[in-house]
Amino acid sequence: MTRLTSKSYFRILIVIIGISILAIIYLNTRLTENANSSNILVDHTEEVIRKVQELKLETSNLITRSQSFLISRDTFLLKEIYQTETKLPIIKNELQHLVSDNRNQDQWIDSLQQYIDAEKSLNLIVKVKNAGEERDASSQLAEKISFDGAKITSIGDHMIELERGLLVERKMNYSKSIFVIKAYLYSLIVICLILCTVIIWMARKEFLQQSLVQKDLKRMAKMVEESSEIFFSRGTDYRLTSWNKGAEKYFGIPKEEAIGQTPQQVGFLSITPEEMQEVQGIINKDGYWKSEKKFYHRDKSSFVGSVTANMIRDKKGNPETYYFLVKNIDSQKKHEEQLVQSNLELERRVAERTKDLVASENRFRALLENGNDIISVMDREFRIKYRSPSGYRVTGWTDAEILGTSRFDSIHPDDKALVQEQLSAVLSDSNKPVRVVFRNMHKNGNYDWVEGVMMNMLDNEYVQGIVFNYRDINERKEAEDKLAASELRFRSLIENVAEGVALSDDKFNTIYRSPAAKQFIGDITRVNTISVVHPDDVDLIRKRQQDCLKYPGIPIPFSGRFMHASGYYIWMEGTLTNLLHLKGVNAIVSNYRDITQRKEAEEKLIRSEQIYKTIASSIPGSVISMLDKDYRYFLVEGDMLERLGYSKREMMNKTVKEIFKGDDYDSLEAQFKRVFNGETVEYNSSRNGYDLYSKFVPLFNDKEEVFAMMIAAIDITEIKKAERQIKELNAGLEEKVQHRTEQLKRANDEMDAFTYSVSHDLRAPLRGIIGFTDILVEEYASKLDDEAKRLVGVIHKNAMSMGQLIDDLLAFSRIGKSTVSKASIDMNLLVDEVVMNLRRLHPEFEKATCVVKNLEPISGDLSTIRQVWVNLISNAVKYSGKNPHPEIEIGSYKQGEQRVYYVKDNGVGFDERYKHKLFKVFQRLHRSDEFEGTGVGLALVEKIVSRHGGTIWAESELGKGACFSFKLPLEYDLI
Amino acid sequence: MTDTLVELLLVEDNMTDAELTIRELRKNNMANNLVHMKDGQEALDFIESRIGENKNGFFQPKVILLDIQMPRINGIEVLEALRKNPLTKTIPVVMLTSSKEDPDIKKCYELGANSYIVKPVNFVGFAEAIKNLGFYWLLLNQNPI
Repeated sequence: MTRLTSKSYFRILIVIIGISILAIIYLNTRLTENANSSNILVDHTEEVIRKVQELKLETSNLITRSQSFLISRDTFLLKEIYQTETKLPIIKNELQHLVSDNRNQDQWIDSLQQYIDAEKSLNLIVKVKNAGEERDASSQLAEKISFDGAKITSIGDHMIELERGLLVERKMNYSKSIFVIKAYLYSLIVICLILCTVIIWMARKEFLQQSLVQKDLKRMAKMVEESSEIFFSRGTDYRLTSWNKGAEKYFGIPKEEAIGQTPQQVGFLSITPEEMQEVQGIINKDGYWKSEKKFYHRDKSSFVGSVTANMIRDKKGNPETYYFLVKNIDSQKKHEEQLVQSNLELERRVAERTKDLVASENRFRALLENGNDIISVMDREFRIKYRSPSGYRVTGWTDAEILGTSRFDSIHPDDKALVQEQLSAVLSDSNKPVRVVFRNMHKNGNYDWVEGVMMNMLDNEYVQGIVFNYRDINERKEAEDKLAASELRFRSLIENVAEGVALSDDKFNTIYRSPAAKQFIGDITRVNTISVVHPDDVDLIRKRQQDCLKYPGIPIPFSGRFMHASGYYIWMEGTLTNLLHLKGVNAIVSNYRDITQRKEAEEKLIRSEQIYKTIASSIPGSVISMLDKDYRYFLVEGDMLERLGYSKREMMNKTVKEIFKGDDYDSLEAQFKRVFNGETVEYNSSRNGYDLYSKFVPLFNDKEEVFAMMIAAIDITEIKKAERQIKELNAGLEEKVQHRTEQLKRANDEMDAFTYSVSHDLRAPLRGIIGFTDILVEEYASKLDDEAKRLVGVIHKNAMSMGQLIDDLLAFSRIGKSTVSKASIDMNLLVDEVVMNLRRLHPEFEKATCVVKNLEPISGDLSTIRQVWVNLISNAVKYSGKNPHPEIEIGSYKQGEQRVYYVKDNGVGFDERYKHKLFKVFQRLHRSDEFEGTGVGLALVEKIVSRHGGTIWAESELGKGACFSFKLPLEYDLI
Repeated sequence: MTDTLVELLLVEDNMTDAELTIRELRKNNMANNLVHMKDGQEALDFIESRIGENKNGFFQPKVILLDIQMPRINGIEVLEALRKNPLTKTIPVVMLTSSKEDPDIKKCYELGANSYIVKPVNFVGFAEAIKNLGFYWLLLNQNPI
């Protein structure tokens, strides 16, 4: 909750008091109003009572007077009576007016009415007056008056009673409402008082605080005033408004002189008006200003002070007063400068020292850590006290693992004794270095060779230990071992190979011969090589020797005849290598082997080669070549060679790979491999426009090993050309046939699909026609006359025949499409069944005689063959139907590998001139009014028969019957 | 209509064929509980709605006569749908076709059609076939459920 200021407390107080006063005024008004209205009511009631009492009084007067008149007969009384009588209605009317707001009283007033009847009374009075002494009238009057009077009195009493009740009630109501309003009033006043008390109590705290603040302020002002710090203030017009003791002291100017002057006038500060304006601007903007300025004393001495300025705004928020606090920082400044100076000096010195230290440490560290040398210090018991960091890198042991352990632990068991010996030497003589070499265990378990120097420095006060400086010499050691081993290996190699190895000096004087070499050439040493060369080969060998000296390191091949110690020549082949420059060898190395046998064989070969070269070259239109195991040509002959674009010269001694590069070679190589495995391979190729037929023949040596391959290639260009022509011709033909077949097949397929779908869709409307025609005949027969019935019959018949046509078409198109199976068929059984069925379906068949002879069995598709019989037999029945004695004969006979079946009738036959149309679709030789039919039946039969690989034909003479025959092969492939 | 027992459901798009079929069935007193659907879609919708309405969740007419060649969903597809649904797979279905050469007949048998009728051009033949069929399926055959 925010703290409320005394002002807001005051405001709240005023608001509450205001509201309370308003409420009190309102309640008071209500109270007065209520009291007034109650008073009026009470007055009104009392008025009514008074009137009623008046009425009662008048009535009792009247009674008294009438009684008096009765007694006294005084006419004066009569006059009185009359007057009173006339008064009564007036009173009554007044009363009525008064109680018009009360219905109960109204009733009573109404009931008064009958008793206050002035006229009646007046009449009686007149009567009495006229009667003079008449007693009756008088007593009548008195009677009436007393009666009415009694009634009026009693009603009046009632009314008074009623009004009184009313009065009590109203008074009660009045006091009640007064009480309620008073209650409200009092509680309001109480609440108001409480609130005021609370607020005043709360405000009191605030006031207390405020007075404390005031006190503080005064104290502070005093402090500022008395302070030895400089404190002054000025207004917006730059004139000083306050000036404390500090200011007086530091500037030497009394307060009285300073107040009301501008700083320039006082002269304690050298500042231009522009600067002052600028400062003022900063303060106005930021609320404060801080700076260091030079200030002056009256005696012209000066000091540096740090100035802090603040500003106070007036109630409208405009700057009012600027306060300045100045602190003399002159001596502080001086101290600070001194401090900085000495600090800098200190830092510089520290930096120098550090640099030196770091450099020397780095040097030392680098030495220890990066050197391969390890320095360790051990105590008398040979326990490691210190080890240089490089030790970890070399041995793999960390300091933690190694420090305190005995140096002996990691020495190879074989070397321990030696080291022990050397160590005792070290211990016995201080300061004498002892060289030690041993195998040291690496962390990974391997032993590394280490070499080092141990020195006894136990007496040295700084070291107090045995210093061991050592390094890993493993690699060196290994290299030495390797060298020794490899020398051994090489020597044994040279000594044991079959090839001869000899070393000679730069004059080719032999200095070493391997055992194999000695075997070749005999045990001759220290001779010049040339001296043992065959005279014919000397030039060649000399040349090789020169080459050898010229190209150091390159093996120079040579071959030639050398003399054995025993005096005969042997063929040798090998290489010379100048290794004079190679340290450790410093000789010319020659490797060679005895090739005497090979040379002799070669010579033999050359002779036989001559023979077959001649043979090969004399075969016209051919190339004969021979290849060794490396597929290198060692013979190429034949007159085709040049025509193919090659020459003997460029092929000889070249490998196939060099001649035929690329893919061509890959396919060849595969064949070659087969040949060298002992196969003979035939190969067709074409080169330079020539077609070649080649045979690759393996050549076997005595051991049945393939040592070479002969390729015999002959030119078959002409043959190939002829072949190609034939092929092309054939291909063209085949293509044509295929094309035609496809066309035909497509056309057939389309036709089939068309026929099928047309027939299929045509059936639907036909069903409608026939169906509804039938309904017409069946259900409306009575309504149709004969002509109508005939017409309906015609429709029916036509639709039926169309249906038949569609069925036949469907069957026909089906034959082309359906797959037919093949089974052996007993034609006897089949025809019997067909005849039986037809007899059932066609009543006219009954009168025909049908002779079925023995029928040959056949193999074919049962259902289609059955169709053939059905069609042929039903045709026979149909076309012989007009003969009074139809005769049908069915039979068969053999004709070689074929079987002929026939159906013969004695019907109308057909005109042989139109025979060619018989088996065509929709072609008929009779009108349908003669014989019904669709022209599909026989076409279908023909198709079935030809699918079975058979033929059908017919013979006839018009009017003398027809004979349909079909021939089926015993074995056939379904087409 | 939904309350009545459907004994025979005819699905045929050709109105002529449908009328002839219904007439023939009626003549043999077999069209009393017949419903005619004009194509495959309509038939499947109808069957589905009947299954939906039935408390037991199945619809069991004595036989469905189903034309093969129909627009939208043809007879084969209807048959396939019926056989796939366990609630309808036991309903006897007789296929109607224009030709016995129809290669679809084989397919129908594979899909579980119970029989087929060729709608012959000859109405007498058709009437006979319908009559026999109705007699068998409506009067003699006992449904498996």
